[in-house]
Amino acid sequence: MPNIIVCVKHSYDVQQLRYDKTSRKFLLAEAPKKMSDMDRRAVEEALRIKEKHGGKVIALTVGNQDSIDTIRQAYAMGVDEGYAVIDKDFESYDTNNVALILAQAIRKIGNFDLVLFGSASTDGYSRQVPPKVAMYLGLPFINFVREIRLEGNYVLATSDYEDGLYTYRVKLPALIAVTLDINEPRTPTPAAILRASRKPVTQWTLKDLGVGALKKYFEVLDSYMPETPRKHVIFDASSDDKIPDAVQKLIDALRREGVI
Amino acid sequence: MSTPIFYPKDTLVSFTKDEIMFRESVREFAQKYIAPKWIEIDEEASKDPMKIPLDLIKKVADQGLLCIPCSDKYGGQGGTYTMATIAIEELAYADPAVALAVYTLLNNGWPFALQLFGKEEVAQEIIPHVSKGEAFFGIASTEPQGGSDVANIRMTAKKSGNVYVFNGEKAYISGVGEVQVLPWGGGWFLIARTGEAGHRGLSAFAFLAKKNGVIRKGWYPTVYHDIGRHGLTTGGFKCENFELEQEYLIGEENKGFYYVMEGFNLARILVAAATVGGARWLLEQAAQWFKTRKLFGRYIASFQGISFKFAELYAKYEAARYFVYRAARLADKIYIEKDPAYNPKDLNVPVALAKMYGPELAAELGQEVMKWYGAYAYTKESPIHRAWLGLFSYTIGAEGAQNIMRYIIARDLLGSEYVRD
Amino acid sequence: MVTILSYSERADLQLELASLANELISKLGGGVSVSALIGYNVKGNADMLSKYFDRVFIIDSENLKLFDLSNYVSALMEVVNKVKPDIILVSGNRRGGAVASALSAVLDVGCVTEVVKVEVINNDVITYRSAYGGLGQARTRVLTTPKIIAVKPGAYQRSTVTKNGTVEELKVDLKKSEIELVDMKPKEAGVKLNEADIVVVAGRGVKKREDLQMLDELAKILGGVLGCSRPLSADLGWFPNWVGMSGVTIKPRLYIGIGVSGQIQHVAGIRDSKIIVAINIDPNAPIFEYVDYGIVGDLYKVVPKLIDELKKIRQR
Repeated sequence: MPNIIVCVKHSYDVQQLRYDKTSRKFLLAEAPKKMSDMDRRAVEEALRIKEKHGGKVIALTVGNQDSIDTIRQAYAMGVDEGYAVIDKDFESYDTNNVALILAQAIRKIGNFDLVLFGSASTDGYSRQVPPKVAMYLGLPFINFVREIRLEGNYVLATSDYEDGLYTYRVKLPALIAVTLDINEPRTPTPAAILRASRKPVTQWTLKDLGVGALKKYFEVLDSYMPETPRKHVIFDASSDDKIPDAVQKLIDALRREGVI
Repeated sequence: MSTPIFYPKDTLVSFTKDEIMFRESVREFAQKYIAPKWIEIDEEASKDPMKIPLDLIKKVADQGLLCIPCSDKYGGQGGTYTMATIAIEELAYADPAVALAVYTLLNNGWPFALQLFGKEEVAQEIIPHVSKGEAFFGIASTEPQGGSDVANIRMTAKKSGNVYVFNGEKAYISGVGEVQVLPWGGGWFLIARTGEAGHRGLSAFAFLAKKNGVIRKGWYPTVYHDIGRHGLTTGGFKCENFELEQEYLIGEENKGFYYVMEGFNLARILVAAATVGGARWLLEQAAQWFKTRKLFGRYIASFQGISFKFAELYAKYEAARYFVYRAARLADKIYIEKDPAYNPKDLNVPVALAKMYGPELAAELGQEVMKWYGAYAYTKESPIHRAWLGLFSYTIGAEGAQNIMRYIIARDLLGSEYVRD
Repeated sequence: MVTILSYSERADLQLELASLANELISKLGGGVSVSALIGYNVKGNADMLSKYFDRVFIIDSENLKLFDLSNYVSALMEVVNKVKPDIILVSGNRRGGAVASALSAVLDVGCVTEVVKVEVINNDVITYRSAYGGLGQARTRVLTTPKIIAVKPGAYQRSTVTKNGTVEELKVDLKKSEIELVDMKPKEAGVKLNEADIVVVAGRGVKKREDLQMLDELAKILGGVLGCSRPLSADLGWFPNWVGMSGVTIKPRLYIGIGVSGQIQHVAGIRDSKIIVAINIDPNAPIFEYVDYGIVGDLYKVVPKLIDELKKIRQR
């Protein structure tokens, strides 16, 4: 009966992120947020393991006040307990800071067999936090996992590396980070969403975790939408008679560009 | 001094966190499973109306999108009417030909009306099958001689011992095919005459044409060929000495007119929500098109004939959407929260506004987008006409014709004595 | 004098790091480039690496046969302690990115991943990385010494500057890994998408695996290679890897996306291509927002015609 802690991030929904056309800065204040895509798969996988083997699934996040929404979403999916480390300065934290906070929170929750992460967050996409937490907690780590199987006290996990699919076996407790390919996450029903809103989210501050002043390792000077001017010339070949002309125009254009 | 006219209560609409999460959940579900299939469903069922997408109905049921406002003791979701409205809007956005949206809206509105007015045992028998996608439960009011004139219904239900015996004909009824092919079956919130002429002689029934997989005797269905919204059947049926046990009477005898009017109010909100969802899809098709299409070396929206019309239609869209959710909020106050400050009549005007406005906007928008797209939109390859034809059906009928909505608005604002002939 | 340590488990990616190391050394007023060659049975690469780095350190151990992150970090720490680098460059492929991150935790220093460009401004090292899931770019800075920088494969060309470096082997005690490898299914090598001049990319609009032949023919006529977007690899397994944020980032002279819808994550992987072309039946496909040239039409009709016309040109 494994106890599984799933770390989830309340990320900017990059599909809906807009930018100012002159400054080319992102309009973060109005950008919607949601649970990071890979983290949702991690929650789904934890729930599937629970459905098969029993145990308990705990969702954990660190973020601003609004990150509680992500725990609510995890509740709506079906997790048993939710924890949120809330800090108003979260946006300024680097991956070392976040990993340290998560490691402390995981220790405080205690009594776990498996820690799951998404391999990368939808917005940050640094892929740094899971390996760092593994180092801080001294847990064996398997990354880019697209299949998980539990066998007694052991977990089998298949990593997707550039050169092949590697299936590893390791004794619990372990830390595993999953990719988008591991499963299709469930979309909660109205009843599940209504039940979720009645569940309490345990909120911690950094002080509750015994985390003091955080050292600064890394900073973002600015972020922007890079300018890549494109010509946007579209040829219509939506009916058969237009195809020869469209193809010819494309070939002419590519020859003018000197690429063919 | 002028006389202030009555205006409905509660004019502000915003969404709770639960509702926002729910919308995201339905949207993801609908975009993943329905959006990739709607064109194929529309095409297949246009050739054979009995090509009903049973697999998707089951998926919609498993996602908890049927019987959303019904109590969990009947296998409903225990949700709000606003949630049902959100679900329908998102389904129609994913399937702008609205077959699945309409299947879903009927099986939210009418099971809920059954729960409100029907007997406990009957609700317990029917709603769980509807919510699991095993049975259909819609509305059967229209007859060949006309739909909106409910008071003039001719189908009779004569009490004989423990049963009512039905004779007569219903026409243009959604779900005639579904009831036949769904495993448990189902039927309609049906209106028939049990008494005197006029609306005081009408009763409502939970009319089960098929129950436990068995089609009952004396029921003769036909399925029509519609011009759009394929994948949801429309048809008619005749009753020849069709017998229904007396417990399926909804509420009191000869009060059916009042129940069905409240049921219509509830269902109309969802009909309007479907047209708003479809309208959003159409607007997005237009917006995308404007960003890629050039004519005479200019983007086509740089012609004000196009961009101004687009802006006007967008304004109507926002207004329609507001009407829909304002009505849904009021439905929650009345039927879910049971707030004593509200009563069912408070819904009349808000619902009529939504049902008058949404379908007309969607149909107008469909036609404009067809024109903006030009010749491509007139080909079978383009999906625009499917949305247009599907949405157009709701300017014709479906829980009350458009002019009935106008009548309701004028009647409630001015007083019925001034609007009767 | 700066010391720049480079690490990748792949020798070819080490050479990309060598370019950047040389560039940084020259911009930071001179220094030494060091390569860490870590693994099992990897000594054979030492001579080759010594032609591109000033110093090469080998750590060869049976306990590095399997990719156990903590053992790889322990081995790398040995080299770090030896040479005290100012900058540690790691190739940010899937294993490398994790090594960089874990090393940063163990060393308690800062790390930046997904880096596409490094600049030196007033002796300060500014790193450019993708931001918001590949949608944008960010200018960033690591505030510690050493700084760990994980560079996207393909962001730098392989070094051609030859050196005559020294080779030294270090011994390190590594524990046997707690992790055991029970199965490995190699992916077919596949073409090197990030090295090709012209890349044709198949998207979800391609209905059957057999249809790839037609696209491959197009790629061959153009003298390019065929790749795919994520679903064709991750979901359908038709290709070992895909073009996009989570796959391979490419910057060819000509990109042709066929039946590619144009998800942000895909576009992030092709953004630096010189010319972007798309063929898609859906005039509203997002890919058209990012193209130089596009054809709205059925790929099954447009591509054969395109092949025919290109063949005619070739015969001429």
